[in-house]
Amino acid sequence: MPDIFVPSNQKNTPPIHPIEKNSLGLFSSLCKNPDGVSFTSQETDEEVILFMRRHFITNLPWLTFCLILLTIPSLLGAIFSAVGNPFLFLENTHTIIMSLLFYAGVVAYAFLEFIHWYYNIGLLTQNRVVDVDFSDLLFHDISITKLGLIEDVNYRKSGFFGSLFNYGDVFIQTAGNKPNFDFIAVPNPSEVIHIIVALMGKDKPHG
Amino acid sequence: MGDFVSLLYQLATISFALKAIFLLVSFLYGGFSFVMFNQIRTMNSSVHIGDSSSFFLQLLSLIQIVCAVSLFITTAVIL
Repeated sequence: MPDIFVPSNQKNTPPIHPIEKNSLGLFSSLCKNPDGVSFTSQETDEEVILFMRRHFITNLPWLTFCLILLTIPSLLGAIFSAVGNPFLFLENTHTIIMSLLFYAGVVAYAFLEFIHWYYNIGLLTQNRVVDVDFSDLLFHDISITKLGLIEDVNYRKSGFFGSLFNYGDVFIQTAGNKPNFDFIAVPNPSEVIHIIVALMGKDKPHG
Repeated sequence: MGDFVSLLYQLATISFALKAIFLLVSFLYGGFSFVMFNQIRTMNSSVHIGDSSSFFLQLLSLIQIVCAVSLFITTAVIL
């Protein structure tokens, strides 16, 4: 015979587990419940639920460009040995310093592009959305909005690589004159939208 | 004789100009490395993205500064 009344302390509720944290690698683009991610204005009871940034495959153009640049000195050396060197007036030390400066420039460019990718992130907590923009070496911007102020969320997946590697742009429109948020080339945008909408539902005031 | 002196003078001028350009570029690279180190430090203080990766980037920027200073000194001494 089924029980009609079960006291609340005897209900068959599943045991409450602490949220399982996922470790965030150097090249991670999307991570749920990331471990060791925080920001300056984070409140004590606020947890980062989602960490996102551009898909790593979007770094392919500058990586290819750097590889091409790195082959240029050896390519020039091969051409000059075949055709004849027009820069014979240059001393060996000049050539060495020039090569070192060139390689240093390529490394600096690659490092800057990597930093640009690494620090352009979006964070989602149970209360807020945080957008960190690292535009260039001398400018960075951190925008934060509450989930309650979000009016519309949508995503756009376009292009061959976007469809192949499953990444797209997530747009978050906020109320009034608050800035809108856009997270470009985020992996699995439909899941991101799903998580944001679920959190928005939780964040809405009841009654 | 006059042509030979003129040629030597031209070569010396080119060498001086190259030395000045190399010194300027290595100095700019050093400045760029310092700015990058400082910017990474600022970003790490505002957003903390994992322990090891932030430390790794800070270390890389420090190595870049060391390389830039070494390059500047090498350029100044060798040329």
